[in-house]
Amino acid sequence: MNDRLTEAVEQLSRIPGVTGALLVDAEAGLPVVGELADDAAAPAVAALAAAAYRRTGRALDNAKLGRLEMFRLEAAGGNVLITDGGGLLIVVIAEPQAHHGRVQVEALQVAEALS
Amino acid sequence: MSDAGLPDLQRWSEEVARDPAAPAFLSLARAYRKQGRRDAALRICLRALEHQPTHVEGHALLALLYLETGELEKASDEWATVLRLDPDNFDAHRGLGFVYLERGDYEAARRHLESAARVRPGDPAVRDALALANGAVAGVAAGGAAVAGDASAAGVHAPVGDPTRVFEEFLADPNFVGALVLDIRGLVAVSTVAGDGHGGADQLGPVFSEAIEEAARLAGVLGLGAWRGIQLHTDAALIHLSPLGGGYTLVVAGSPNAPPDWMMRTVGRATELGLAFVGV
Amino acid sequence: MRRGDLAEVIDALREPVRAFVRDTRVRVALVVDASGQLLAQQGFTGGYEVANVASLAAAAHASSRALAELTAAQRWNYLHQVGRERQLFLAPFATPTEELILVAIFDDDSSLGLVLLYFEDFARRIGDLPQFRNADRTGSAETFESDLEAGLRHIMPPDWL
Repeated sequence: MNDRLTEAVEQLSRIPGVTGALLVDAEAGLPVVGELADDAAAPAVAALAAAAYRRTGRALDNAKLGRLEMFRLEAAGGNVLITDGGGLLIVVIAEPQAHHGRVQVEALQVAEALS
Repeated sequence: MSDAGLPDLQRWSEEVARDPAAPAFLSLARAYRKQGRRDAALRICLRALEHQPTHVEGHALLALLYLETGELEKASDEWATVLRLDPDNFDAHRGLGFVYLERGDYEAARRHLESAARVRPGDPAVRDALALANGAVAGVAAGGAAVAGDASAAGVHAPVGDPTRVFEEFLADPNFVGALVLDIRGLVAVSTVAGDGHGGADQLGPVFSEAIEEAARLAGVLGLGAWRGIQLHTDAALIHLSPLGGGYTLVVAGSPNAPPDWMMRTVGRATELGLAFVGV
Repeated sequence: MRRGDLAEVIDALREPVRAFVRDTRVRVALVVDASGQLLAQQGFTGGYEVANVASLAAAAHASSRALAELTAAQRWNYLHQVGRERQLFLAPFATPTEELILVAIFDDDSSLGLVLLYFEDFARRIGDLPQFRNADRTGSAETFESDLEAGLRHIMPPDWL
């Protein structure tokens, strides 16, 4: 397994409150490497995160609202942050009380490193 | 209902084998359904109902079995049969309410869900579905655009006031790009956009509806519950979406260079204005 | 497949295929049996010779299965082809009575991951349908041609054939 990618996932997983981190092939919607609370959900998370990011990004672009750089979902049970770097999507899942500023900064750092 | 043990299954099987309409058919069919043996459960129900066509619970179970195999028409037929036999049946009214919601027939959905709510006022699924149906009916009654209307004709709150002026107070803010309220169908009910807009605010409904749809799916697979907010960062804007209630969604867009707390403050104020306008 | 129950099968497949297309956002989804008979279609098929696609899918399935057996791979899971604008997904799945093939054509609106995600559930739903749980479902050589045409006619608007 690619050490660089594994390190990226580990960097994100170490953030307090983060319950999962996944790198996803953006075009295929398939998981590349990751750590989730339930690893069996990785294919589903990868596919749906990729669908959310790509479709929303395309719609925003068509509406001349710019190029999507980050998609963040807040839900009752936690948050999901998706950003992209080098053909991969970085997906981070965190508890509601996680410091979302730190999650955002580190996810963007990982994205830049992978680009 | 506790899990059926092997002796129970055997006893029920023997009873049903002797008499397809034996009372045990319901327990046996339910046990098979729980085991994932839907085909067996279906056969048992159908045979029993041939002999007892007025068995309400049998028809209700059959509706669930059809629902699980995606046969919505057949499920609806069974629930309709249940209601002919038992006009106040909660499960049938709830089931039909959800089917009509899915089909977009919000008036019919509302009628059935209100009937279900009368039987069990506290049911949370019925309550939420009714809020959606009411919001949809309000959106239809108002013609998809916020105009002063006869709320009594719709039977629900209809938005009042000029929809282009709801967020007017933000236009003086240099960080403000625009704000919208979408109705349950994803149509723009309210819009205020700074400058020359973005190709017409009406075009933006589908854009954000896609984001909401995908976010809901993702939240579902992760077991995170209902979505509360979506933030989209682009190189041209920072966009925040949040549910307003009654099926409405608030969208606020600002400059990507706005101060960190700008969005939360603006969303808070926009929420007050949006709620006051749609009357939820 | 006998024509007598063919209409029932086509009817039963409609909703699961519709749900699959809705969930995956593929452009076209076809369900074909191992002999190339089209059992279900959903989506924008105007640009495709659907009957030909069905036959070729069955042929691809037969040759892939033979290849899997020859190489002791036991079975093949799916075929995925990536074109410039469209992608093709072809996969067999078993029901209690027979093996069927799903053909999905998609573009940027979908992805292989999304198709794989919903394919498993789709296959299970089809397998659970009562129409695929009856024994003795195979037709005869005499009924094949008429069953094929009946299948196509049932699905397509009458003036397309």
